[in-house]
Amino acid sequence: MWYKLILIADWFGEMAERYKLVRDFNRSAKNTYISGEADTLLEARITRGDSTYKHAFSKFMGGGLRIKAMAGRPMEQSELIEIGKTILDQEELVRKLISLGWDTLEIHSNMGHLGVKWPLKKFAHMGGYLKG
Amino acid sequence: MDTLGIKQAQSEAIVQAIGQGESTGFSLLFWAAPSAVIIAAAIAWYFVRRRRKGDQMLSDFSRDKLREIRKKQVDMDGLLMSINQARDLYKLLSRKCHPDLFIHSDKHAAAEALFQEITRNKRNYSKLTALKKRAVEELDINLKN
Repeated sequence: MWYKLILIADWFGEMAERYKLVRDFNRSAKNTYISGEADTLLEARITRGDSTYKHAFSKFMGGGLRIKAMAGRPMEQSELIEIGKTILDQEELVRKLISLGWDTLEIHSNMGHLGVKWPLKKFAHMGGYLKG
Repeated sequence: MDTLGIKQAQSEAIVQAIGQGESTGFSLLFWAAPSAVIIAAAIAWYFVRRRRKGDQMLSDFSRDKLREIRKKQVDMDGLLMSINQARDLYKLLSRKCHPDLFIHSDKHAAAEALFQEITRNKRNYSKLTALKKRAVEELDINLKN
């Protein structure tokens, strides 16, 4: 019984941490945009993700982290890939995303139909090479 | 009498046929069940062997280790700066610190090492900023133009 209570507390803690990460990202994106360091405002939100990218910690119906670039124009694929690769290069962030239940990273622009996505488990290096 | 004999022969044939059918069914089950088990075991063994030595599954991680990872703070401002500024800084540094610019100089080895570092951290703004300082000090170059 006590074990179940700990699990429930863990679940709520995890959800709070997920929303905190998204909020932190959006706040930093807003600050860099306002200060003129960024040309494009970025916005992060939680989506369903791709079911084929699932791993052991994936959240049900909430495995995707979508970053939308408010460029006001259809962005080129190379620009979207550059944003995605910069995020995936941050090893600590990728580890945190995986442990918080995200499995897919999606990058979109607010116009056009182009978007790119990556399975996060391919970029995790926890204790050597990992499999989902 | 004849019809009775024929009927008796027919019933004997039916009994024989049923007997044969039963024995066939039993033998099929006798061979199919163990072979299915053997095939299943072979498939399971194949998948177990496929997991390479040293590989870890995500499910292998303990809750404590996960909690530890979750609590780590990520520098979001640094990340956003990397997304927006790292590319330009990388271009500037790779152009100014290229080893070919220092071929007939004693700074060639330092430039080569620095260039490798720059390429390795091409998407990390904070590390590129540190490398920029190092480039100014070690290679004595002007990065303002």
